[in-house]
Amino acid sequence: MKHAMLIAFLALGMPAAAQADCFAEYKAKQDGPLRLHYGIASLPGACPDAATAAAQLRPRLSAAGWQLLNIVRLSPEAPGPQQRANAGEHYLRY
Amino acid sequence: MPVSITSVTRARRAGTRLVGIGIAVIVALLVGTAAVLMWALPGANAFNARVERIFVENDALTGQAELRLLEILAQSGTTFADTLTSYRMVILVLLVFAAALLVAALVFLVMLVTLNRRVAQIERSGIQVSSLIISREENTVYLNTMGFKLTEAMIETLAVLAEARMDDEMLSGVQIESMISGKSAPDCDESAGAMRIKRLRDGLGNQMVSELLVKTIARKGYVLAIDKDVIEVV
Repeated sequence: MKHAMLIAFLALGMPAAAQADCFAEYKAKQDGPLRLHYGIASLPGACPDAATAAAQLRPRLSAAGWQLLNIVRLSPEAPGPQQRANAGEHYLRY
Repeated sequence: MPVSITSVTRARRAGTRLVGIGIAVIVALLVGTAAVLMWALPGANAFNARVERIFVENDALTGQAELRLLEILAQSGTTFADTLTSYRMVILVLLVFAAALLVAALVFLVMLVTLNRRVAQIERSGIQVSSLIISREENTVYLNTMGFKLTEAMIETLAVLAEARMDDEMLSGVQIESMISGKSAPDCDESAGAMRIKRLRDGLGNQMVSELLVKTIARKGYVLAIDKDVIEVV
């Protein structure tokens, strides 16, 4: 509780710091054989629209041999434990 | 027999049309089946694309286990696509067999047409001699399957002519007379040889016509041995 209050306080007190990172949940694939992954990447600055986020994310993923399929969600808040578990090794990897 | 010739020509024309239709059917079958093989059967990537679409369209589908399952699904689809490729090969082989059979059928059709043509030729030329057997003991000559009884002198003349034909030679009346009578050529007469030929023609021709055209039916009378449809009086 105290922790949550602290976060809320920080968010209110330092809006600039809160906007520093945007968490993008995305889906990507590799061909032959087909491999799929769900991952979370952080984009610098305030959350852009989906198309811009995709444009930013695409080169980062293709450098590792992955092809971006779509952006699921853009959120300035850090993802919950469930999303983090689902992303697994792909959490903030690319 | 102009009527008969016309009908044979018509049959031959029908045969040629059949060959054309046969070629058209073979080509259509090959092209059609190739088109089906190319477009109708799903490609190797169709299953992957479908799995990918499911993955993209469902936002909730993010769990690690779910993704692994989707990947396995795509892999089994790819394996099935490989099976389809082998099926495609089998279908192609069967197609080639079918085409070969059709071509064989076509060849038979062409042969039929050629036979039609030959039958027409035979009908035009009257009698086609495919075998000539001279039997000196029975004094009989066998033309194809018909046997004609001749006199000894006629058989002798025919035998001399047959021998000359086998050697690709031509005989004059004098030569024929000298060969049959055994006298030397200067002693022989041209007209004697010509007479032998005339007798052979009369004897053999009479029997051939009575066998092929003007038949004698014992104790009943005479009849023309031809199809009544071919008779035309102008």
